[in-house]
Amino acid sequence: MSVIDWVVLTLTLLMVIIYGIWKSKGQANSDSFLRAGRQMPWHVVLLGIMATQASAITFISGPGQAYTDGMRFVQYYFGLPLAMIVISVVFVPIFAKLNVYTAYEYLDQRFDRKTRLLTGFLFLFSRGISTGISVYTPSIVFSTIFGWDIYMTNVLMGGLLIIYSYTGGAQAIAHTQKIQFTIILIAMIIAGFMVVQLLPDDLGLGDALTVAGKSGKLNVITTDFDLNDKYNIWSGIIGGFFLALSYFGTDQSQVGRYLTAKTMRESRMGILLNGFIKIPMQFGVLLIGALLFSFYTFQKQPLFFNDNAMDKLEQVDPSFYHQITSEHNVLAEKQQTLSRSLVNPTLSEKEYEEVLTAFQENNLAMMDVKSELEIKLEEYSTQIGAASTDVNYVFLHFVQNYLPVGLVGLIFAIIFLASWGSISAAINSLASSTLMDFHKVLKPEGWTGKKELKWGRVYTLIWGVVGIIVAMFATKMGSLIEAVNKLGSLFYGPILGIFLTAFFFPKIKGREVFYASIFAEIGVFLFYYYDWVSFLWLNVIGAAFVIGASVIISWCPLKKSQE
Amino acid sequence: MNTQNKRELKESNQEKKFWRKWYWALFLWLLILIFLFSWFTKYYS
Repeated sequence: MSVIDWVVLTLTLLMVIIYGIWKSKGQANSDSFLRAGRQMPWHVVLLGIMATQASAITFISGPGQAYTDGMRFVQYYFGLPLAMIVISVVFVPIFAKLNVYTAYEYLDQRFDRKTRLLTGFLFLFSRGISTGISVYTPSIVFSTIFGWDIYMTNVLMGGLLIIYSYTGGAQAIAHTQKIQFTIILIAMIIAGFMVVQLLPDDLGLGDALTVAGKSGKLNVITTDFDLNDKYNIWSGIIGGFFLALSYFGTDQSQVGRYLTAKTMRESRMGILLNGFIKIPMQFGVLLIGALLFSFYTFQKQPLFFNDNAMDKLEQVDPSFYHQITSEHNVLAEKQQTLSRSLVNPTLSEKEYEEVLTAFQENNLAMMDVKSELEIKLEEYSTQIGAASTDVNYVFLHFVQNYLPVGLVGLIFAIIFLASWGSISAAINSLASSTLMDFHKVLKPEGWTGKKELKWGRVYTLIWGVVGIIVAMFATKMGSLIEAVNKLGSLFYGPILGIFLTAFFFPKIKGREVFYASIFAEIGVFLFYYYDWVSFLWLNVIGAAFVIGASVIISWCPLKKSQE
Repeated sequence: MNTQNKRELKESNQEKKFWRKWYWALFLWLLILIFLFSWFTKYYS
């Protein structure tokens, strides 16, 4: 990076940190630290909800996801608007009426103490791990640019995050997320604009879309119904609905955002507008990835976007390295020529068909070469120390090598801000739940505002450290945006099932739902382990299992005879 | 039912109508997006 880029990066980050610390002044009790004193208007709630979900993973891994697998990932969000409606109708009024600090407090009143603790534990475990993945993501940025050891980089990134989250609290988080998300949106637009600007002079957006489309990257809607297919319209609407319902309705990192609202109306408005904006926003992020595919096709596609990993492969196995790069270079040069022909308007229909067939066959050949490389990288994973896929490096490669000075620094700053906004909210929610659902429940006496604030900060620190430890293991996880959603799908189903049982089955008591949840979680893990369905369906299965098992247990004749 | 209860019920019904419009708008927005994306997919495939 140039000096200008460093200045832009440092100043942007400093500005946000200082603003966050300034906003954290005058916090006297846990209500302002955990719920921002319940003073936030709808637009702050909206930006908070969006910033909490859209971390650096969205921004780094999203384009890479579209680059490798096409844009069909956007279907994953199709259930979200429907989930926002249900949350607005059912969840928000209940949380508002009970004046809760966490979503799980409600379960204590509705069911019993052990159900609250179980649900809280499931949340802490799943959110704790996904926070670690989120700490790892900005670490990739620095590690890739500067060749730093990824493990030391995790410690550095996590350490900065702890400072920010420890002093911040919900009030500062809400205000800084406003700035962060505005900057993220600007950056997305700039990045998309630059991809098109940097195409060869005689080519435009239409040409890039044509090449991306013929390469199968603009597969936004796929309608084949297949339970093992990761992303199609059915898994997106149904599975995605349950995932969004659980994430936004029961995950404290999101519930905590709309609990900061002044009134129920402000909460609802923030939630519903998130429903309007999320899908187009995600479409835009994925489109950048699809356009990057075209961009690199016209330039000459790199074989592998993680330059560090390729340098190490050259040292470890030079003969394979030279063989695979030669094979790839021949195909990539051919791809360059074919892609130019594909957008040539003077071709006859017959010529076009021939070019298209050759182009698509060449694409497949390039994918085969890449698969061969990925298998080899997996073999050498101990020596190379990097993941065998480069999904998370596609966008970074473009930023580093093609964006002008100044913009590079801004984009990197934004990646950090996106991370910080999301992770600070997650750490705050983990601290809230630990304090309110465990510490205060297990030791209810002697609490003052000051003591709550102190322990809120202690738990923020602890969860920040846990995040760093988990980040150390994230290297092997492949596409991070998939990893974090797979992890969510393992736990969100049963958690959602607990809440849906609470809302819609008034006769079910704590004992039934407690045991049903345990069986459901075991069932979900079995489905995942044996790969019976793709991960989005796990949300539906988990929720249905809890509800079904609760109802069956409630009919249990043994229990009735004991009563 | 006295006037004050009627007024509260009316406000509550107004509030419900208000939110119902938003819910329908969001649902329609989803359908519009699916339609647009389907066209986009077909056009460029």
